[in-house]
Amino acid sequence: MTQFNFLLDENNAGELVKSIPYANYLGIKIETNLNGQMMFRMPFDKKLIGNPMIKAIHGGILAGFMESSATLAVIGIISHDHLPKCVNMTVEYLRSTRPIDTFCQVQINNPGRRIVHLTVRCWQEGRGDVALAHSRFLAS
Amino acid sequence: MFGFEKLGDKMFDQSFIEVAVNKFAKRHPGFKDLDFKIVSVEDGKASMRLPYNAKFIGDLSTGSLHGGVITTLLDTVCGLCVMSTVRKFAPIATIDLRVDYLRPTKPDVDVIASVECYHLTKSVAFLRGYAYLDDEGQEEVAHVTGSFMLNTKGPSFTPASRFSRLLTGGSQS
Repeated sequence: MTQFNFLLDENNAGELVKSIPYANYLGIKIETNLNGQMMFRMPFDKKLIGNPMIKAIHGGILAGFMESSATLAVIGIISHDHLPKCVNMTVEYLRSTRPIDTFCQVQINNPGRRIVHLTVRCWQEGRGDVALAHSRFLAS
Repeated sequence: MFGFEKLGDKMFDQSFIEVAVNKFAKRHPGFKDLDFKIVSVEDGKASMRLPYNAKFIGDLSTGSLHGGVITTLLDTVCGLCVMSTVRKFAPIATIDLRVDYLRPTKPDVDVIASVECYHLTKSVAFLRGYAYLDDEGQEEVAHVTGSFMLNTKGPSFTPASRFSRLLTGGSQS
């Protein structure tokens, strides 16, 4: 839990995001919801668009956002001296996105000694869940 | 933007596809940064290159690219592959995408993704492929399996069918 609080400190979170150039490129921010749970925000930017006709966010960018968030969450929940590695990731797209901020929340299903199994839920305001991801990370 | 007419074999004309995609990429805010380059487009196959960019590093200690940008490359090349299979620039949507990361990428080495469409039904395309390093070893870095929905909602607003109007009480957005 101490590690979790470490991430909720704005300065620490900002520095951690900066240490991963791709997470920094996406502009990921770590926030808390009303229940005090950690969640991640990807502010909308024109560079994130995949389909310019309906201005939906690129599916691959969305997957990248979820993977970056999962990496940050694994760092926050299980102490590390190096970056956890993503073994694989399955993304299920539920509905198309709008050109607004996107949020996600990471749920660690099994914090194993070597493999961490987790689920990422990704949503937009007034839109409901837009994508789900299941992923395994190598923690050791 | 493109018309959605059937392109036929024009789809596999390298110069045509490059002009079309460059036109698309120029207007596209996201692809300006990603800078994907088409390597080849064939019937049911497509491959694209991601030039190495320090902005997309995932691990600064090794200089390897982040998995997310590999996923973005694979998703994009899968989209192009679906279009090459149906031979038109139709709006499509990713239903599901699974990526297995085999090994980290190397610094200053481009990544090439190559995918094929192994099955096509009326409304769903199934794809598989891999990404590999563009050096002499050509080691594979990731494998992908995905399914894509065809003929999704695009810019053309076809009049809703009577049936759907009945179901939604006439309110069609």
